[in-house]
Amino acid sequence: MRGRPLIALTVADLTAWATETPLEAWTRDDLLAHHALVVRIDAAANGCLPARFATPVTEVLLRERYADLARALDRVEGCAELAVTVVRGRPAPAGEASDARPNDTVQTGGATPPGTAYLRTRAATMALARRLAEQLDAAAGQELIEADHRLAPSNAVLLSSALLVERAAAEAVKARLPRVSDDVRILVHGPWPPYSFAVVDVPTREE
Amino acid sequence: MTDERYVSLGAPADDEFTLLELADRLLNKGVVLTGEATISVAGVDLIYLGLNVVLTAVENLKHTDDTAARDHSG
Repeated sequence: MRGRPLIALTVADLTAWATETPLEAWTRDDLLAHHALVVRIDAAANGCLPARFATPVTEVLLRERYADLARALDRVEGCAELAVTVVRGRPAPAGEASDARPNDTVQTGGATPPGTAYLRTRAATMALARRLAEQLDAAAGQELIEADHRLAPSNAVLLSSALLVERAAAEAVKARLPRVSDDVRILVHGPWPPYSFAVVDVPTREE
Repeated sequence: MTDERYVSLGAPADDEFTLLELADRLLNKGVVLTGEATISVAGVDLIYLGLNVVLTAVENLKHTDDTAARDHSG
């Protein structure tokens, strides 16, 4: 990153790749450089455990967390993730309010619908998101190892999902996913290194 | 409900969603070895935020930390 060499920190059979950088403001290029490095390491090894951007690492930390890291790596080794974003097919016209199209109410700029109507609309949106998630799981089929679905995380996004698959199956699964459904568009990104499934419990500190 | 500052002015373009999903993973997912992560966007679902807001948050985070440190020692 930033032209600085990668440093390998090794404990037993685990190697962490890091860059020594002074603390300063991070930029968009750093984000993308981090991702590019993760992709390269992931391709060179049989897979990797992506680390969160800018998270610190030391040999001491590696040694302390070895068991957790080894377990987490076993889980995602050789795997990739597909990222899916489901968005509405077209934005609702401004000011339109219709009982038959609950999604539109959520889309209307500015105006907050009355409480009950909002909850009904929200429930309908969540139900739609849940159906879409099930649709994705079914389309991904047997090669889907695990899925992480976020239902209706924002006005613009109906569903944001991470699908864990074996790297060898990634392109096939990607091709299998639908791109349209009713009034929505389904955007599929990746395959990426398995960020969403790289989970290690962070030790809590007693204050 | 949704903080107005964090609402995109327009619907993101398709390729913006790719960057949003990636940025969300880079900033909120992936392993963290210590509770003292140098970066965090307070666990907010980044898919909420417009792309410029996400990147601004990344760029300004260190400034915020610096300011806080100065205030405490002042």
